[in-house]
Amino acid sequence: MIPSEFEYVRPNSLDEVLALMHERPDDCRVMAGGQSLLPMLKLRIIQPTLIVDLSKILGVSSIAVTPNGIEVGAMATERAIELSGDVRQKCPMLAETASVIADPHIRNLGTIGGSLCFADPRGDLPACILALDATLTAASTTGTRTIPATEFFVGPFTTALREDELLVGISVPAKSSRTGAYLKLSKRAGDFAVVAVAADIEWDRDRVCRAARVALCAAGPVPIVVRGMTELLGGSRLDDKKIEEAARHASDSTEPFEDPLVSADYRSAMIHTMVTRALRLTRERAGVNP
Amino acid sequence: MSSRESNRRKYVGQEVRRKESADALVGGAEYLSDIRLPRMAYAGLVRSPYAHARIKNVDLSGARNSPGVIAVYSGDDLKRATKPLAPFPFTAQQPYSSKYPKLRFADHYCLATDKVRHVGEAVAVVVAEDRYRCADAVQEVRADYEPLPVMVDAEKAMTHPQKIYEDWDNNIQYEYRFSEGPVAELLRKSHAVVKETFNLHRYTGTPMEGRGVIADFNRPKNLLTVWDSTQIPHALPNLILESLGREDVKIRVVCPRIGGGFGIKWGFHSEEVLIPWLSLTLERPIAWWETRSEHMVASHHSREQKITVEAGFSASGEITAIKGRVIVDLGVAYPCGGTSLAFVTANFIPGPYRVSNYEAEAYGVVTNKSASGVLRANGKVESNYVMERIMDLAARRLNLDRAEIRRRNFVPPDAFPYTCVTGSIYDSGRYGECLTKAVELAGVSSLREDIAKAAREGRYRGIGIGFMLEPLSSLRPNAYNSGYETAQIRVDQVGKAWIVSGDVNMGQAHQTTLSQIVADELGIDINDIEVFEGDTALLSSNSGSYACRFSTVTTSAAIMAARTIREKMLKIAGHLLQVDADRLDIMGGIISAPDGKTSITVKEVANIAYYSVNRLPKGMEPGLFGHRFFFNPNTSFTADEKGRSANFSTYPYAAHVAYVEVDPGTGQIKILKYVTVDDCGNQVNPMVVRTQLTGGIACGIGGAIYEELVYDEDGQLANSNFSSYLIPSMLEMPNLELHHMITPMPFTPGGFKGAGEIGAIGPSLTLASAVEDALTPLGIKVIDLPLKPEKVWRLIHEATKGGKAGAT
Amino acid sequence: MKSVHIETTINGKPYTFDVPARLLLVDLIRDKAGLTGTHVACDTGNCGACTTIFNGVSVKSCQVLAARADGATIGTVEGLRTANGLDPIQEAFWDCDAAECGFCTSGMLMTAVAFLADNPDPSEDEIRSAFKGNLCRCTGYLNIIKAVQRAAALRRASPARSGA
Repeated sequence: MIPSEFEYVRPNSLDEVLALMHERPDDCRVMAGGQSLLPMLKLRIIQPTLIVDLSKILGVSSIAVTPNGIEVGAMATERAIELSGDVRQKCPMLAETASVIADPHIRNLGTIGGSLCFADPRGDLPACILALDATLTAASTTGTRTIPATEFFVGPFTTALREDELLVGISVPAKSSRTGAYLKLSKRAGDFAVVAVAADIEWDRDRVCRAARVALCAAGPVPIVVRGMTELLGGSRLDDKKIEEAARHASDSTEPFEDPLVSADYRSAMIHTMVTRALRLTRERAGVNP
Repeated sequence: MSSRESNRRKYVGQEVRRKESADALVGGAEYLSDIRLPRMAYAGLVRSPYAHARIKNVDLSGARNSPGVIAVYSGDDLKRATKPLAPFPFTAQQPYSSKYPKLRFADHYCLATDKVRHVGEAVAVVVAEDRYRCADAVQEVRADYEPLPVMVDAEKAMTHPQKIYEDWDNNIQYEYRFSEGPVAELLRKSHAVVKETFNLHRYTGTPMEGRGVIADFNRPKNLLTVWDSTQIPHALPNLILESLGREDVKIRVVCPRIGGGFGIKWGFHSEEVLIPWLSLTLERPIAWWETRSEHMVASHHSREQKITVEAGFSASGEITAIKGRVIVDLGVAYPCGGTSLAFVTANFIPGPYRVSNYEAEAYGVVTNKSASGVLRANGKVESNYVMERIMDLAARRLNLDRAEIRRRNFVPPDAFPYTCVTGSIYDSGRYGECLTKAVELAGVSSLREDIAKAAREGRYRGIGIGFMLEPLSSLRPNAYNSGYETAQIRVDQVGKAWIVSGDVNMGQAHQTTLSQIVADELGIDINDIEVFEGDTALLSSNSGSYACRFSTVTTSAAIMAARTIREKMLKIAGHLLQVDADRLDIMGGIISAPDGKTSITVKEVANIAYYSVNRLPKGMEPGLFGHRFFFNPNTSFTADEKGRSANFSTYPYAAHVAYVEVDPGTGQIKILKYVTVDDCGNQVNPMVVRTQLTGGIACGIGGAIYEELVYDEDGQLANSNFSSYLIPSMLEMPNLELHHMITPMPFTPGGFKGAGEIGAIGPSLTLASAVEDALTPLGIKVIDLPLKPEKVWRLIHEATKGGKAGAT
Repeated sequence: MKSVHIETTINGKPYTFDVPARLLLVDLIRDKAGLTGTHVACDTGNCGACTTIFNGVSVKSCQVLAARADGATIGTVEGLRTANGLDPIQEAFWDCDAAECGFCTSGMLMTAVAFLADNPDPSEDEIRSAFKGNLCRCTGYLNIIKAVQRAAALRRASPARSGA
């Protein structure tokens, strides 16, 4: 219940943070919202020597609509994303994902950057940004670089960021006509998912599927983009038969882990159920009648 | 009109706002972890990560050198200095004079010495100046273990050569048998026999406030004060002295405000010896309270039972005979009351039904898990569940309506007081009427139309019906729950009433309800009353709060004590007014004669009783004081030659009806409607009754669907915090339609039965019934618990893929 | 630095502390400021008994380092009552019997205050979602829902009485 001792700094600028991360790459732990970090500190799962509090840095928490899509600062809170009119209008699936995370108190502080960098296999935002084909921007003392979401999550609780890099922004590209759904199956509302599905469909003018991305949360050691969805669903109106094929394919192509509280075969079956429902909902939201 | 009793009901039966909320709502209630004493130090426990292991070595040196550390001790230190934990709830090693139950105890010291037997067993203690540095020092203790094979299956453990306690001949701690009637023969001859084995899962109560103890030894006064968030303050002084092996020191136990109990604080725990010992040794106040993770392994669990029931039925559905076999997984043999589980469950499987032929064998078996102890509706959640499942399955087998088969078997209203086959005496009841009322209020016939419509749309909806009988207010021979409660009331010099009761308030509104009762008895204003519980300096009693005994014995003791005072006040008033005391009444603090003019106030009488004693009737002592004891009615301490015993006084009952939809894709259950009819006798405060029932049902829903403690083969608990042990949140709680009947308890002056626990019984059996009904087209049976989505999904999956229908 | 200097405002009153960097906000409130109305009931940020208002939003104070309190404004249950009496939310809880053992109550109250400030006329579903991070073991929640509805009505009727 009580963290071990650590040093603490609360820099005023991004440059100060990056400099610290460059100087002390091994023992520097950044704290964004702290909602994933604090339980780990309290249970002494981690015992860092230095905590760098990001909460005073300006310029990394805004949500902005651009011609290319939406730019979300890494320090934007889940609550801000959930309530943002711009996100709800331009990318409702992102707002929907934020709204099913934990509870309002946690979302008031928890940030998208913190959640993505924590890379919990059961985290909701990682699967969401994979389905949205997002790009992440990382900064360090040597400059910035962009990382596609598909290359960001490399292992459980492990990202492609170097030790001296800080995630500063997430870019969700604009697609001409898209609908999506984030459907989460959890034991109680807000709990970590048994399985969750982020579905994003791009439609052409005739309401035929042009591209499809389905990402799964809690289905493996990292959030998974189900391969071959565009091939399977492209050119269709997501009729029930196509959806069934896609759901079966999603279930067959994953090997969920067994855990004492949720068995693997149930999880597998739930991937099937939830992909089916997410795709149907996505279709419904597009007003498509197959 | 008698001078003894008031027939005024100004407060009893009214929805009076809780007095207790006055400080809770402003953050002013003082719980254990709010207490701050000068020089207070903090204790932290080092706990075993192994379920079964020999302790090779405990190296305290790192901890001793840790900053802020005052002292560090291991099991060897405590074994030298203390005795084994006293065998709560029993006051003797062999409490029973009859052949059964058979019972034995294990010697557990407050810190483990040679072996650890469950994950979380404490092996060392660190005392430091503050909690933060204490946590650091606890990490510095190095304990070496030699792991031993782990036993986590109770049924296997019964006959397995590997023993949890080497000086026992097997792993059975408790054995109970009962036999009445030619059960085997009747079963053979029955038209139908329903036999099932039920695996009921382990879960726990998790009050929002965990356990905690603060001890402060004042040597000059020879007084040890112990603050403890406990349900049994009155048992603790004796238990602590016995476990310390001392007689010399005076002990005062004080309950601060308690943040929930539910039975989890009814027990005698290691820390309740250790913390007092530390204070006696170090001569400083020492504080300890558990973290939630600690709570999950260091406080007790409950409900894990494997029960086989075989019930015979006639063609028209009457029960012919029942045979039951109960195996309770007790975890380790700690003195926290787990030994009652097998007895209670086995005794009450027949429940509300007329059964004359019954055979039971029940075992409490030790395993390498945290101890099992009492939990809300202790042993009766299990007994009601299995019998109600049997009744549903019998109805299906015999093609009878589920409510009708129950009605045909209920103890009828004219049979009370009814001595059931195992000897308990049921007080009063209208069971059939209760069930019928619930079914009607739920609108079952129109729900059936709804179900048909849903079925046409491919959805699975169903109705569950459940009945539950809850024996309450228990006693046991040679035990701390020794069959009475007491209340001490004083009306002071200015006419205010001060009540001390031997019960304990953990959220059941004792202060409010006792005030209501006594205000009516004394004819005074409810705001002129103050109530104290949980302080052994003010009162001596036997134990504290459990089995809703408040409604039976505590309220009765308070009523009797109040009547003593009332009688005396009226005698004094009569003497002063020159009116026959039997003709006087008290209302609004005024004692008056029938003419309405001749009167004197309570305050004046009180003043005279203390200050103008020359004006009292000749020979009368000063003061206004009542101290009475009330014994559990219709009970007995000893079993008869057939092993029948009556350990419970009071029997509220309820019928629940649930309307649910089952999602076949996920196995999730959505509760669309939940209707109850409760009969808890007279109600002191209907608002409190409804809140208690609602809270009980929430616990029941948790236990039915969301909560389960999962141990693996190595005895490791997979869910030891609130992110993986899931209690219902506001989103999981459905709206309820609560109705009631009133059939008073005939053997107490108040006629109350108690509503604090019965809600917890209903959901598992009612939802099981509903899920079975919803999935009727698939022909599945719901047997095991919990009804978590994965389990329900599996039932559906097995049935639909051509798997054996009925598999669970 | 292993210790931090904090200047903060709790219930409108300024406080200055020098505390270990690892101190949790809930411990700052309870142990350093002596305001023990906020409680700790779990160690994984699940139960909400520690809910306070932090810079205008509800947070679980066991999930925040005390260091973050520097420059922040904090509201706890002790700050709800005014010279004129209880906040409508406290009265509503009392009338609706929404507190039993009381251990979760301060968290519930602070959640209600923050929620109603943003959502003065909530639906039952919105209330349920708002409180999913606040666990109770005694009441079964239904009275708390009623209390929040009642408080919302009271606040709409006389906004001047609204607290924190």
